[in-house]
Amino acid sequence: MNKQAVYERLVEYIVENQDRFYRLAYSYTRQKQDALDIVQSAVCKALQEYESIRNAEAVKTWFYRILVNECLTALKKRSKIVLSADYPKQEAVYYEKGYEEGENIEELLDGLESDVSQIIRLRFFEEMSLKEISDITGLNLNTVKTKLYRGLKELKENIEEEDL
Amino acid sequence: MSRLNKMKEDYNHISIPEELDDMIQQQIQKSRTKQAEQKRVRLRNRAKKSLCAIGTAAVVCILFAAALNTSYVFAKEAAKLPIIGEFARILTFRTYEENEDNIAVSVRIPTIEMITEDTGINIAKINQEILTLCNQYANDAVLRAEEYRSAFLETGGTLEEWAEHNVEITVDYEIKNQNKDYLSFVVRGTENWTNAYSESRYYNLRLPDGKTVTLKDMLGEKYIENVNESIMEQITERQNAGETFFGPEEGGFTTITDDTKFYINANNHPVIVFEKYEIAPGSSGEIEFEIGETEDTKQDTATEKTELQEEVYEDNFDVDSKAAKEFAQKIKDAVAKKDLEALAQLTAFPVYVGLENVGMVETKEDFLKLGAETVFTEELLKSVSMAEIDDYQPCMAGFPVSDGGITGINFGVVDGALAVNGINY
Repeated sequence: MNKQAVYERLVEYIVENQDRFYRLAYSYTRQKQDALDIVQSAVCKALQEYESIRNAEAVKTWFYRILVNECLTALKKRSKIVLSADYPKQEAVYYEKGYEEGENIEELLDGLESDVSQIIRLRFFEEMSLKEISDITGLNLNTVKTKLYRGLKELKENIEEEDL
Repeated sequence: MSRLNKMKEDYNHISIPEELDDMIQQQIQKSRTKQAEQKRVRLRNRAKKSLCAIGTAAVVCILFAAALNTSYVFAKEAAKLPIIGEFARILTFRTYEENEDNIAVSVRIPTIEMITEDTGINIAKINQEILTLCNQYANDAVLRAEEYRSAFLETGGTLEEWAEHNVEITVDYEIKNQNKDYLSFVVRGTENWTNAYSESRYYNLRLPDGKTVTLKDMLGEKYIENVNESIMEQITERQNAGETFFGPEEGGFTTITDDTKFYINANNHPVIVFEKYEIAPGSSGEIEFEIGETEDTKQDTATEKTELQEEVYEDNFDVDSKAAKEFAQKIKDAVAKKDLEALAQLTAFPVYVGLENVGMVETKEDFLKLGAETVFTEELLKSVSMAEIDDYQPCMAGFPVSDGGITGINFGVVDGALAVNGINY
């Protein structure tokens, strides 16, 4: 495959979808600067490594793999963030506050295991197919399904708890 | 599920900071600059390869003649094109357009016709070259676009999206200047989806004889030096005015070469052209430098120039072989013409002159008093004219202009500039 063609395709894909990248990054970090940093280093890496895009592989999943990776790396660096999966009940309280201020999504998602919340982001916010998610996360298709349903169930539980 | 929908709505309303787009563009710019550098390396390699392709020229020649005679497009076009000066005209002898797989191809190949007689061979050769170049570019570009198309589709693009791309390949020419002295034009091949393969070839012909003009023809022996100096000055000026250029370590301007592209403008001045990304960020596009000084104006200032000698050398190790060669050439010229005055201009005093009863000569006046007949002996003339000056190596002892024997003229760095410092017999 012509390298230059792949490169131009990638550049174009990045320009067209930059807003999406930013939103996803922001949904992880909830901070403008951190989200910008994540997108920047993902774009930089992608443009450097474009030759590793393989024939049958879509640019989209290839790029998202880099992006998601950058998001997770950024989160790990911010060690002060305690993964809220360990404290689901507390999160529910925070979530309620957040929701009233119109900023509920992050807290709701943080109430889940990180890979579960990631799958939900990609499935519902980025509207990706399960196959694409499986390609991006490296999890097999059935695992993706299981985790997605578990996540949805948990969200629903949260909602019900709250409604009580 | 409405909760999830609400979440999605919130997600979609995350506001996008203004900086995002700038930042993305910067990253792309940076990466393109890097690519441009790789391209330059690739082009250099390609230049070597293309020498091998000359064998096909004969075939093209036949095609060319046939097309010229049979194409009604040619006849139609020829009628409306302007006559340049009174000696030549450009006519488009082949145009075609295609659109297959949503790749638009548009080609206009210029050909030159000389009105005056007896220059046909030269022009035919140039016309052939242009034709080959254009066809080859168009064919390569279509292949590249096809590859792009399959890459696009294989990586998840749809046919509709592809159609929206409006991929276009254009081969066209632009007349830069046409007057009674020069015909200057550029033939360009471009692909609207990538800069990496854009090509432009400049043709500068002197009229009425149709000879190809080089920078050396226009600016004289020291053209590289003069042009570099002028460009450096202009870059500094333009930098002060807020333009951005790459520094030397970023692959910016260092020197022109024999292959540097230029055209001749309406003032009959050469204009040096650098491609996008070549010496400045892509946002600057192509960059041009008009070189104001031409052969005529230069002659007046030639003597001043010699005395000014802008380079300052620490010692003989600072002198590169090109500078040494240029200086040696001046010595050769002065000696060949038995021009003692010219030689004195090149000399630093006191100078050692190895004639009987002479030795150290303290001043220029004393030197001139020796007389041309005394200084330029038969032996010296022969030795200097035979001297090999192409390959000087930096050397503490300086540089000899001689046939290898003792007789000859030595030069080296004196007070920061090159000067003759000894004549041996």
